[in-house]
Amino acid sequence: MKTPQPTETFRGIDVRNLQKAYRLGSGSVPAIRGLDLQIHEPGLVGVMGPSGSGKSTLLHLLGGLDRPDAGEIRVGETRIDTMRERELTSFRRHGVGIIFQQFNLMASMTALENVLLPAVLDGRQPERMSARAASLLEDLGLSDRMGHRPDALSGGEQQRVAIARALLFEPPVVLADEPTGALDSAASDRLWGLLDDLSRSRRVLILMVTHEPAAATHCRHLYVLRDGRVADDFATEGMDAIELAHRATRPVRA
Amino acid sequence: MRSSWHIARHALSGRRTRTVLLVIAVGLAAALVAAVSTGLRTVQATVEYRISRSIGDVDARIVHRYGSPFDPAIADEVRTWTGVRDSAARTEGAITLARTDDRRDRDGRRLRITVQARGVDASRQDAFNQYDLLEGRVPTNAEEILVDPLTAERLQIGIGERVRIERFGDPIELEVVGVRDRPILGALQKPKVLLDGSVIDEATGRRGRASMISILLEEGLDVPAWVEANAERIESPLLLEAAERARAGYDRQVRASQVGFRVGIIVAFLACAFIVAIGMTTAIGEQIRQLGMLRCIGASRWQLGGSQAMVGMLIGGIGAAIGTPFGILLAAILRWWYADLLPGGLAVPLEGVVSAMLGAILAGLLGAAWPAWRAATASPLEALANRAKIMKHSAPYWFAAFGVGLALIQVVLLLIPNPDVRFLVYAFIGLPAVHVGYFLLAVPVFAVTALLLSRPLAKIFALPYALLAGNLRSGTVRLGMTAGALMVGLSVLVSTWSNGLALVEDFRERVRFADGFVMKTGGLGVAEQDLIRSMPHVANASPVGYLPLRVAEKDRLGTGDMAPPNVVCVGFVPEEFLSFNRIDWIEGDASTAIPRLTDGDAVLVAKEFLTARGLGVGDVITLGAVGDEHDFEIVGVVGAAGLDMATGVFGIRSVYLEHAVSCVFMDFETVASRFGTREAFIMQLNLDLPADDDAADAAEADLAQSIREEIPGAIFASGREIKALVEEIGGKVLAVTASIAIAALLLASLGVGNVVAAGITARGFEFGVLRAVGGAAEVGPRLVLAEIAATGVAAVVTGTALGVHLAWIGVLMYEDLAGIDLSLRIPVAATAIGAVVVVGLALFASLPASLALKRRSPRVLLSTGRAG
Repeated sequence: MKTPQPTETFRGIDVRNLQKAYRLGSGSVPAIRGLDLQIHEPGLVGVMGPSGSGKSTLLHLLGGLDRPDAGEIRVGETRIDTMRERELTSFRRHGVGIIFQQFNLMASMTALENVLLPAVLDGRQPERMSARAASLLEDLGLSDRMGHRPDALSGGEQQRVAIARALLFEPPVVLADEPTGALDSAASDRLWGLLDDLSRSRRVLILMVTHEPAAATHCRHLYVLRDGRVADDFATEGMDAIELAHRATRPVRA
Repeated sequence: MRSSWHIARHALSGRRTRTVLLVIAVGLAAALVAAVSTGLRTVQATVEYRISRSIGDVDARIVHRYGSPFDPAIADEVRTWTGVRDSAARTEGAITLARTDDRRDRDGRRLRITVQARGVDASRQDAFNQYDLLEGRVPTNAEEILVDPLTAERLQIGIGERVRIERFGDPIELEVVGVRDRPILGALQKPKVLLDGSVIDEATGRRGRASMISILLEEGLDVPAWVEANAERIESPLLLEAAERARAGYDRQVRASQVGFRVGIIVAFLACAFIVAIGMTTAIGEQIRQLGMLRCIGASRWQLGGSQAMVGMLIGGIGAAIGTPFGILLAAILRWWYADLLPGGLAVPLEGVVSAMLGAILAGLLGAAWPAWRAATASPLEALANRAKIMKHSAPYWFAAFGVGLALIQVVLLLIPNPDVRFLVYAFIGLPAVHVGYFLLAVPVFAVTALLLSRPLAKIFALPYALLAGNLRSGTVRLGMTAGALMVGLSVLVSTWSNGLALVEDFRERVRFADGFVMKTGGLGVAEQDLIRSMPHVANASPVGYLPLRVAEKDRLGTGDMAPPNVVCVGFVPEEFLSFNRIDWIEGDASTAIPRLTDGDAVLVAKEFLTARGLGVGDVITLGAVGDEHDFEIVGVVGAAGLDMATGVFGIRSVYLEHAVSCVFMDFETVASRFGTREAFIMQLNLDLPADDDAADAAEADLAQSIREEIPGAIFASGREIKALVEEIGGKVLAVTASIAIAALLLASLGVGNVVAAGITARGFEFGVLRAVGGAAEVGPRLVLAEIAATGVAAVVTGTALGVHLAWIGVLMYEDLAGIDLSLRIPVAATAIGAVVVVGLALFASLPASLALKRRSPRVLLSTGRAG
């Protein structure tokens, strides 16, 4: 599969009638029940919802980390719900970036080497991509930390390295699972600003799962999940955390 | 490939301490295989060396039934037979030697001695008789002679001096070029020399006449079977027979040591594989989490599999490179330490070295493949979520079921009819199945151990019971498998020791014979026998008679016209004889034969008798002078390896048992009642001697003097020297085998200890959580030590069971392949010491990692295994 390049006609995410249930003992627990979601504009977009609403499952399905029971998923220009395992592997490498709450960096690698890891997995000479990796780290304010290993970096710095790694192949979509969950508030604020800038400057859709209204205020648009479906969605412009929390927790629309 | 290598390199360097510990564990496991294989091969070489020095290398021989010389050209024909490695004619003769300078002793008598001379073909000598030399060398031409210490002492002669063969006609002068090492056994022993065959021919006037054709067979051949298959190719009165080596069962001992060597290598290989595999799967959760993350960012299954394979190969390769030479070094140290017991030299077997290297690398690959397979086949999400899966309650039952099933596979394999096929299948399917079976059984054993020991261990290690019990319960599979790896050292110890002990006991029993012999050419009368019985230090004595008896015409069938009309009737007291010698029953058995013997109408015969005369168990032979003939039923065909060996070493076999074709064995009382004689040719004595060697020598000297003085013409010969020889071959070899087993235990236990230590290092997060929720710094280390103590106990239980199982299989295999009927013995003391060593070493090896755990802060612990 060729590396998807950002296009002028950004296609974003298109999910239709998505369904996913997990086996639990002899029964099964539905996590996503006929979810529809279309996001065609880049930017920082949030997904909120109470525990068990299906937000993490949605993220995993969008990232090709798990397979749906039914429904269609398109990420960028790619339909992923019908992909075979090998294609999904390639998709995860090129078609999407993933940022974890716990950073998940390789402890033995420097910041630069961690960013270059997808290139290594792609069979490329890391040296050929090192300029781009260095540039990403520079953009993220880590120009003087490239040679440091994770244990010598702060939490915020580690998360920025993880973001750079997610952006190495310039995927149209980056998925973030509570990206500030392991950071203090100052580091979180810096990271939100950074993600917002990145999404605009690189025309990337950053879909972020969070359960904190304060974090959600950084998103341009918010989708509220309840019982495995999108219960509400709204633009967050001008809303503070209290208003946003109130809106996100109000009764399900008809 | 490049990306896999990249991941592998970082996976190793990212957990340096654990990597180093694993490399040490693999190194020790490889050392285990190398040390065990080299050690066992060295012991095997020593057994063969000792046997060849004691009773020669000859497997079979052709002799004349009645001692006449025969055509030596038969050796050339025999050399063309299938299975024959070499054959050579041998000349035997008695010659009288004297010093060329006519030196005299203190009484003025000329120094001269009559010796048994063996004439050989010098060009083939190396293959047939590998004498231990005290000094000098073997003859290389017809003007040289090798003497024994007895001859050297009597002639007061040394290397470089000359002797003369006294004969009618011109004397033959020879130069002494060597003195062979041979124990001096007293008056019964005959002096022996070795020289070129042509010299004997010339000296005895028996030019071109052989006394024996010695035959060497190809290695591993079943000598009695070969002899039986080829017996008819030799025409009567010549006789093809197995030599002492096979008659006394030494060839079986050699084959047994070969079986032991192969089984030892396989067991050590499996032990190595388990240690490495367990080491590689240590902290699988941590590994899978990292591999899962790599899957999330686009790593393919092949890349992960490849990277883990490379990790395994690297750890296995480095471990093998370090461990194999280390193991050989250990075996070399063992050889150096036991240099006097291991004259066969250090033997480094290629298959052992290859097994050590391959074992480490293959096991590394297999061990690494498991986490990679888990991560690659699980969805990335599952891998990421993998932290501490709760064990299903049914897991120990499943482990038990599969474990028992695999262990029982071996029992099914015993049904294969062909012994050779059975061994191969057992070695390559049965042994691994048994090991894997017990490895799985270690899990339920651990579950039971944890249940029983949680409370006492909680008290010993000052831990809350609920915490320890819960931890042991949740770690049942992990800790059970660790016990499975830890058990291998003990199982190697128990099985090696058990089979080694049984083999040595068999060896001792096989050649059991009296402490001393009294012989009088004219026979020992009843009064003299009683006198001997009453002498100091004689615990008991048993007479052996020697009476030529006429065979009735009708029973001379099969031996042709050349058969002598007489047989030698060896009279013995059955119960007493059995207390001195072990009798091998080729046909018949003791319980039915001995009552018949004492009834007075039955005899036993040697196998050669059976072959030559076509008579066997159930046939009747008529013996005695015309008019005083008696019928005797043959009730058993027997051999007495110990007596064979003793008479062989003394050189009196020619008058005692050499021509077994003409021997029948009869109850001593029957000889007395039917033929009117109670005279003994030999009295076998068991002596009650002081434990101290010098005091025993003095007591024997007193006894010999008393016999000389009180029974004129009788001479005493000690059996202690020959017994010492047997002890050296058997008893001391056991010490070496035990050392190998202990070394294996130490290496395996240390190896697994490092695996355990690596596991502690990798479980930092878990201990961090414990600290974070209020656990004191010492709780983690105590918990670890309590876990290891429980694991050690489970390992001891499982390892002992596996060891006994392997020993039992060993007993069956020795019976199958070497024809040796061993009994199953459990070395209780060795097992108990081994158990303490296993638990102690596991605790010892994990101590540094446990203490390091105590020094780490909760924050550092919590970051362990979570990468960045």
